[in-house]
Order: sequence, then structure tokens, then C-alpha cells
Amino acid sequence: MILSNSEIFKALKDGYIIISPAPDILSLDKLGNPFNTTSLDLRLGDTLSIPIKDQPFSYDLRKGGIASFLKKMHERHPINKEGGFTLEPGKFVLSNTMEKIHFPITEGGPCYCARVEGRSSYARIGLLVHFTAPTIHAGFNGTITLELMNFGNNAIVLYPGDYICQLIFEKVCGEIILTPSQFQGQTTPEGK
Amino acid sequence: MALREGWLKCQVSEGMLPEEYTVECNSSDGNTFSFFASQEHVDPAHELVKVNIMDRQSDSCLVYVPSAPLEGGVSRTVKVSSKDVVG
Repeated sequence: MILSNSEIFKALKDGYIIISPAPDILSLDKLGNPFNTTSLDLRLGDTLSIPIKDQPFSYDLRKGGIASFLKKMHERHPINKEGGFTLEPGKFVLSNTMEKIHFPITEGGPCYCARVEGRSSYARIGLLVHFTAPTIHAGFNGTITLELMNFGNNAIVLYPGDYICQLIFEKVCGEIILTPSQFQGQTTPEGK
Repeated sequence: MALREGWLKCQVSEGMLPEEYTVECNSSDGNTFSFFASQEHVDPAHELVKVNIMDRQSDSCLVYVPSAPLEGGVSRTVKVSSKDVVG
């Protein structure tokens, strides 16, 4: 079930969802209030990870050391606070949210997860903020990586601190099983 | 539901983005797997990454790593050598 803004706020207050810096439901900054009826807007961080150049290689995920290789093929690029960063059509960069998200797995307490989605304003001008991995699982702790792709016909200027994506929160139903012993005796999902 | 936390020996370097590190570890079959982990999960000074210990045998350990390895086919639950796990 998707959480309403009041349920999101309650979970934040009770410590079952931790967001840093914490959003305030009562305050308005120059860009407005991050709480929508059923989601929370998150801001773009101040750094991009940009492919160094168009190089002729293939990613082979069956080989080891992919993370180091990815790091080597990208460079960090701070986003200019005043001028922003111009994402040209067809270009792909990585960034992350300014906010850190933590969904603690608490024994006996409720657990939450979320999905990251784009915002309609950016969608209309062709910006994709994530590809096929929108789920922020229970237990997650960190900033959310954004896969930014300009599918539009014109360049898009991105500024740090702009609300660029939104999180849709859901309450996890049932106990989260993490250890193999908890599945003991079950050979099928039905427990047969 | 509560799992024992431990630390897995790894190689740590700067991540693609701030707030994260690049982490490379070895599985018990000798293959390398790697992922990006948020700073909360990494001790860069000692080259350790925080994991949940799911099962422990004399020579191997089943651990749950803090984010999904990038190598195809490797899940977040990985069998590693017991001598690489601290705690």
C-alpha cells in the first residue's frame, strides 16, 4: 500500500524511515514543499559521474572487477551552482540524491521500502532519472543513484539542489527473511 | 530476523559518486565480485566492508553484502572464505 504524505511524515517521526537532511512538512523553501499527496520529492546532489569519452569497449558483466572498471571509465564533475550542468540530447550521466535514505529493518516494527520515480516537469522535457532499477529495498542506507538520460531534442540544464525525482513509499507486508535457516524445511514457496 | 554483523576483507577505492566507495571482494571460489557501497558500510582505513553473516561453516561463510555486485549472476548473498570475515 502506498503511503500518504501524513503516513510518510509519521514514519519519519517514528524513525522507521530516516532521511538526511530531514524534510520538513511545514516549511517551504524557494522551490516549495517536498511532500506531495503520496510521495516525497528529492533533490539532485552536487556531483555527476560522466563517461570519460565515447570509447570502443563492451561491458562484460561476467568478468570480475566491474566496479573498478566503471570508476575508471567515468570522472567526477561538480555541478556549477550558478550555471548548472547542460545535459545534451542523447547523453547519459550518473548522479545521486542530496538526501540519504535509510530504511532500517526493525524487529517487531514496521519496515518500509520505496520506488524512485521521475517528476512530470522533467519528463515533459525528456529527462529520465532512472532506468530499470527503481526499488529502494528495506534495509537500504545511502544516497540514491540517479541514471540521468536526456531523451529530448534539446539540452536540459541541471542544477544541484533542484527537486529532480520523487520517492513513492510502501509498507512491507510480512516478516523479512534473511537467513537460510528461516527457510528450513521448505523446498517450495508453499513450504512443501 | 536479527543478523550478526561482520566485516569482510576487501579492496577499497574512491567511488563513482560522493558518499560511496568502490569495493572489490573475493568469493570462496576465487572469483572477484565488486560493488559500490555507501560510506556507512565501509572502513577504508582497514579495507573492510560491513556485511550480515547469514551462515558460518569452518572454512566458508555466507554473507549478505550491502549492495548488489555488478558482476552478472552474483547475488547479494555470497559465499566467501571464513578467513576473510572479521567478527
